[in-house]
Amino acid sequence: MPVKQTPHAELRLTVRPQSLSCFFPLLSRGFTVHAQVGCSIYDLLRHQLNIHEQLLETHVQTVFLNGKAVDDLHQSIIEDGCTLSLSGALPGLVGAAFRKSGFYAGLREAVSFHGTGKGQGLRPGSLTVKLFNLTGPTIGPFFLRYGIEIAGSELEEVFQTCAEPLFEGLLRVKINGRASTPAALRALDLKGQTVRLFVEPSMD
Amino acid sequence: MDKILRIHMGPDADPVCKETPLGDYAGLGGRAMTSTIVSKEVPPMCHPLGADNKLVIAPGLLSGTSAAMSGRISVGCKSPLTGGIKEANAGGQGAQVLARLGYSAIVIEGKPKKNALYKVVINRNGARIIEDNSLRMLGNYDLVEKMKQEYPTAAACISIGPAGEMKLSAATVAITDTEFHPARHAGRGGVGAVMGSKGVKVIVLDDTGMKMREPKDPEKFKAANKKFVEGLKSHPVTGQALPAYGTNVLTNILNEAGAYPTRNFKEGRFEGGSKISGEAAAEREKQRGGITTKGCHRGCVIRCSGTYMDKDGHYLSKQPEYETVWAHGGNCGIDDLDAIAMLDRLDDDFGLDTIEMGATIAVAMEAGIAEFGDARAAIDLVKEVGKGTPLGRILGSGAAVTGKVFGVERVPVVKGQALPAYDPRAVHGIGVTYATSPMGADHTAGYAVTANILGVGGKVDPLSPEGQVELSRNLQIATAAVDSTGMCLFIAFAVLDQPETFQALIDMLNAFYGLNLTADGVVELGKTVLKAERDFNARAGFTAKDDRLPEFFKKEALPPHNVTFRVTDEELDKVFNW
Repeated sequence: MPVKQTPHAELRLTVRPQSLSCFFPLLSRGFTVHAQVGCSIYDLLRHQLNIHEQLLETHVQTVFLNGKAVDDLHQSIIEDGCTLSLSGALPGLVGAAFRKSGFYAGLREAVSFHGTGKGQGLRPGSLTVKLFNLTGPTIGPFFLRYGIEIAGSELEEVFQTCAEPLFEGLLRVKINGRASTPAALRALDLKGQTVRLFVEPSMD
Repeated sequence: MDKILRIHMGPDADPVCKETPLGDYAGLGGRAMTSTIVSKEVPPMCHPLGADNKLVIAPGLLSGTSAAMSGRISVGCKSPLTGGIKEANAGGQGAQVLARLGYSAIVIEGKPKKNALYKVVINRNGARIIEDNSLRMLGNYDLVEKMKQEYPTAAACISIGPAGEMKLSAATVAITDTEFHPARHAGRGGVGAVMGSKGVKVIVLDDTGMKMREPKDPEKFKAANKKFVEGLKSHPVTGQALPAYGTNVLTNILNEAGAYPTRNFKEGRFEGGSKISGEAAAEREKQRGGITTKGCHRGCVIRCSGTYMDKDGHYLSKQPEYETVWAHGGNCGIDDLDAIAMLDRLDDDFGLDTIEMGATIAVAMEAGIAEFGDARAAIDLVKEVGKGTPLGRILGSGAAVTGKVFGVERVPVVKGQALPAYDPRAVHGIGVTYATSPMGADHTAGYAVTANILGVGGKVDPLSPEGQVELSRNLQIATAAVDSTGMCLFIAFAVLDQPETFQALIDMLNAFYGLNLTADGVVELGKTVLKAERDFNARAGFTAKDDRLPEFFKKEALPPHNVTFRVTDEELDKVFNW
């Protein structure tokens, strides 16, 4: 019996860890996250996404909020509708300049973000997140477990370009809250829809 | 490496090769060698394509040894693009092989009395120069294939394509990589045109029977090299980001920052950026059976290069570098990776600087010669250069000439050389280096981010305007020093964060040559090189007015952050006050 599709489909996938990498290219293009906004970047990543402190320190070396380079994750406040981009360490003088709180931060002062640390209080909202380069494999799994929202056409592209490793490692599927099958997932027409995607790695 | 090969091309006699001792040039390598010879031996007012100019090719101080990352080769001369001194460097196998053959430099001087083309063949028995007009107008790829057939034991070629033969100011000198592809280029400043003016098409290097260069203290050298490699591998940039994505890892970041020059520097963000990013390229390379992680020369442990395959899985080009992807991509409004890889291949084959050509095509697009975003037209324009049509010769002469010919006001050049892929309105500090480097606009001139460790000029406040100037000065000094060792500039990332890795580099130099070099000595080397280059330019007629960015960077605000370049001329004039 065909699954009834809604304009906002919800997909919950359980996959073997090696299949997670199929989703990483999506993450660099940008996705929506529904979260409590009005908090600092640090609070969002550490307390809502549950990203380990050490991962944040070692792997999130370059941060942009609305396209401006961030130096202090505690002073920079996430507002509804903002864009947050995360990256690892980057090459070159410019890579060093954009690194958070780096020695060469002054070279890009014209595009630095100066946070006040003061928000308008916690409230539900959403933001666009982009995970560049090595933050895809390191930070990406936390966002995929938390849940991301993307265009259905983008997910269909993943199903096409990464079909073999993805479906070989696909353990469980839920479509709009109901248990389903990989075949039903492949048959979905997601064009024109927004998809809430949750991906859980499992060693089963 | 105890001798210099001097090739005198005429016109007083037939071309002849002669070996000379190092003399005053002992202890120099890479950029220090090329810039010292050019500043001492080339009349600054000479015509860059005339008999008095000299083309100097020099491996680094540690090239030909087992030292990691020691395979950069420097090519120097008076530049036909800028009219000033030029050092362009490249990876590939040339430096390692030339050094093992015992040469600290090749100096090509004079000019042939007849319109003939020559090849130079160097092996353990010495050098021979041979007239070979069958090579005329061959692309670099066909040329090295022909050389490999003629000289099966050849280990590397140093060559020019048709652009060099036509003496175009965007012409490069190509160096073969580990697969014998002519894919690494001393790209900037038209060094290939100078090689063309000497009538030398290719230098074939065969190090059969030659051994790795031996250090004076092998144990200390081995220990220092081990520590150096450990430092590179443990650093997140040299150990992770560069091997995984190559230099193109920068596209997404510069684009996000609004510092990615788009459509001839009109905007700072390109909507197609993610399609041509390092992440996207790595994914495509994997899908098509390409290699995403490889070195451009043996002994490289960072391995930031790769191979880009076409849709049928055949080799098209090396993994295009960030600057190439930007120049032919976002700067021309093109978001097609296959088209960019094809442009990279054509540039390498014709022997053209990818930065200069991308910037030039964007200027041509601004002039209405083609539409921004038209990849097919961009490919056709580069083919015009390869064919040597009148339009092609204009484009092959670079962005400044093209801007003049077509009456374009927004021409992003300094000293006649096109700006690379970082908009100085968003990153003021790099704008200072673009403006003041003796090389013309050059992103690598202030690349070696080691200044805080070296302590060049003391600690500065990087947030002040003076700080931008101080940092640029320190970075230029440090870069000149690293370029002189012949080490890949990418080592600087590890050296920035890990003082012990920097010390390991100094220990390697000391163990190899039996020296007692210190960090201060490295700083002095950098200053000496820069002083020689500045002095040459002053004698060639350059003044403070040449150390400026084009005025549109001060007048036109760059979206999305709407920023302009705000460092004053007075501040720029302080860069070389030391």
